[in-house]
Amino acid sequence: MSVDLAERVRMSEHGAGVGDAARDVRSLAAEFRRGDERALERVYRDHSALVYSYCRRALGEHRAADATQEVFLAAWRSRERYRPDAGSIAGWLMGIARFKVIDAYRAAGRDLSDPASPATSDVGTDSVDLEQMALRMLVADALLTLPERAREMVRKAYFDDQTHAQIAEHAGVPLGTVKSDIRRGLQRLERHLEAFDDARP
Amino acid sequence: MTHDPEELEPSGDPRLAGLLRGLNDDDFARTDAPAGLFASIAGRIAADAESARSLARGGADDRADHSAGGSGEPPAVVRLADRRRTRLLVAAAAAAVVAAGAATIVATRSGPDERLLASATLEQLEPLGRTSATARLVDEDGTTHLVIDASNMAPPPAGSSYELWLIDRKVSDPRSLGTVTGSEDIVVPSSIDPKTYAIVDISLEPDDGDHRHSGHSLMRGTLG
Repeated sequence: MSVDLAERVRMSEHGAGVGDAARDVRSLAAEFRRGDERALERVYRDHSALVYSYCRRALGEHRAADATQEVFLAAWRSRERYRPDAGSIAGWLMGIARFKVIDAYRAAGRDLSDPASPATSDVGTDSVDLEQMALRMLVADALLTLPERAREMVRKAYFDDQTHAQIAEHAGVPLGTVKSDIRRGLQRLERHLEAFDDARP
Repeated sequence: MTHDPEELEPSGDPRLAGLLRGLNDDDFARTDAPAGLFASIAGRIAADAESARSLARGGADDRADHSAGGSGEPPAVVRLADRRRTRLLVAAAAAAVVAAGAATIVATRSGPDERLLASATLEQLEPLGRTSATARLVDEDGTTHLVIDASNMAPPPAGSSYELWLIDRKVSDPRSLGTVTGSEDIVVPSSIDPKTYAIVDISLEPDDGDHRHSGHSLMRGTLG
């Protein structure tokens, strides 16, 4: 069930939680950190589809709900360690999810009674793959939170492999505008990676 | 036209360019977490809080229960405050919805010409106290009705209303059946096929003029 980028962008306009104003996001993060339980509900509403989809893809439908629950419980229990200035809450949740998924994956790998379990799998290699998958899904989400023009330019530069000059010509804007839009867009995406790195198991 | 090296490997986090180039459709695909998962998380958080309080109280409760009028903190007050806090748990709407003693059980008719097609028990998607509801899809002289039997459903918070929806199994296309206040008997328009639109959903809708689903579902069940 894949949804293409254009479709995702269209859906994001229907309040999928990615269109929040920056101020709202900041105050939500502060309320969450302070232990406001209603903030947890909003964090869950905004990000549970991302976390659940990752767990489901990595662990299968059967174990995804449990893993998702563990992620949000761990986030709530360690909420005081979340530093809003170190990046996005989505990044931090996915950083935690990465550890939970790797743990669950290892536990399943040790289950030798299950003939379907990959007994010979190399958990070291798998954990790199699982982390990369978490990062890509996080970046996919983050991309949708960029302002439309920056998002389009990043998309053209990285998906369509256009040069900045080509993008500028198509969009009819100066090359400098393209460069600064893309640079600012990438900086915003990096905030998500910072929070991802900041998460602890 | 050639790429400026800075375009290919921008400064900043060295992982980012590779992640962007590696994005595929699966990275964008999302599936909503199962209904009821948040209620389960909220339940475990409430249990955490309760066990922390038990540890803090030690055996004080037992003694207090048998020594009414004894000295020290009145434990009943403490417990009431605790309960209030637990109820606050992620219950933006629930605090308003849960009104003690506001029982509004309405008996719905079950006439002889009714034929039951499917039914569902609606699950709470967030803590709503004793509120419960079932849905029955019935055929009555060739007309399909959705009958909601609700109990302990408090009035919606000021500035909002409850709305009943039938949603397709992929949860991508909610169809409104209108505003509800509790138990209802609503004719399902022939344009909605309940076999496809099998999810019964009651949402909390702010009175903001937006006809779309608010995304804030209170109860949900699948007709079967």
